[in-house]
Amino acid sequence: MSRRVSALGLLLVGAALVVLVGVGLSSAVVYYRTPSELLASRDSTPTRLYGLVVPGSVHVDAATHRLSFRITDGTTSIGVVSTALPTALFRDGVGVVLAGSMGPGDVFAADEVLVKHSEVYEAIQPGQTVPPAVVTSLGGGTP
Amino acid sequence: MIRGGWFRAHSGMMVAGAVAVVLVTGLMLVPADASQGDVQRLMYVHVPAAWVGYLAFLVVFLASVGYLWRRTARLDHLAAACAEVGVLFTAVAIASGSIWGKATWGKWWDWDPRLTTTAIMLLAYAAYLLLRQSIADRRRRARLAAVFGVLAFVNVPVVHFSVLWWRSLHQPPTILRPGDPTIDHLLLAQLIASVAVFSLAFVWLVRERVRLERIREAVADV
Repeated sequence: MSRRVSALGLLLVGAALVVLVGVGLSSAVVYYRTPSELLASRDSTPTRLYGLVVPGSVHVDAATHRLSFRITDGTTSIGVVSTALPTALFRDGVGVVLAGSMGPGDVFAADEVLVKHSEVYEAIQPGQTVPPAVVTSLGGGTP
Repeated sequence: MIRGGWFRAHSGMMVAGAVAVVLVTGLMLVPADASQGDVQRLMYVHVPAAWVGYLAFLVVFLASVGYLWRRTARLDHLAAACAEVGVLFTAVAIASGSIWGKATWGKWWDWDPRLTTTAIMLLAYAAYLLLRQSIADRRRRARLAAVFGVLAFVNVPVVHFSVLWWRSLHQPPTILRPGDPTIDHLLLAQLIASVAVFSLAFVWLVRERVRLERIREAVADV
């Protein structure tokens, strides 16, 4: 009987830990911020920023080897400049997680552009090819 | 002489054959994903490996609770075997996920909630195995390992739900989600086949490992 009590006690402690870890992490750790949150905070320390690439906003400046685009969270958009080349999944409308900080003129300077991919998977059709990368190099232009 | 006959004697080869079949169909025959291309095929290794990790640690938890209740050595052996297999498959999930992440996200590793909690899970069960190694007395080892095996499981649901609870780089679940799976039928069938075969491999490995442990203790008692 005492074994059952101790097993039950362990379960209760475990359940309490789940709640603690959950509450603690959700309030203390935020993996990324949104454009609205970042602009409201006026924070220029290094951070992660998430948003969708605004269609038509992607440009490569071959002279300075910099990629520029805008990201939006639906209500607020922010201009981004990056010296990092994202993967082939980078394109209009895709979600990106940027690491960097807010620079002058409310332009986010990213030194890392990570491309999120969705949880939706579709079989490629016969004859269909994977969409080509929009940006293949920071030395050339956008097609 | 062989209990269970031919099937039992050849079970290892059959499981290995089934794994080879799902790897060939998944990595070569099934169509690729329309937006990611061939790299998405890593899913047929990554997802089943992560699933077996969860499953193994669930059995560690149940066997540990059972041991604390009944104090039968078999349950202790079962928990230990599942922890070993779970660590192996979790490491495979992390390695395959890392390669997939490099190709799609652009980075091998980042400290997002899913990746961080998974790393904690791997370390927790590695610690469980170390704890077992460090205690010579069988009953004491079994008792302490069972307590650890119950506590370590706390993190496992957190790993699964991390992508729903918090902002993350890792995408949310495709199948174990509210609503319908967001994947084509053919790709889904392949994924289910991979999960089934990896689960079969898990059962086989654990059964062999438990048998080995029983033999080892019997030899030690001589």
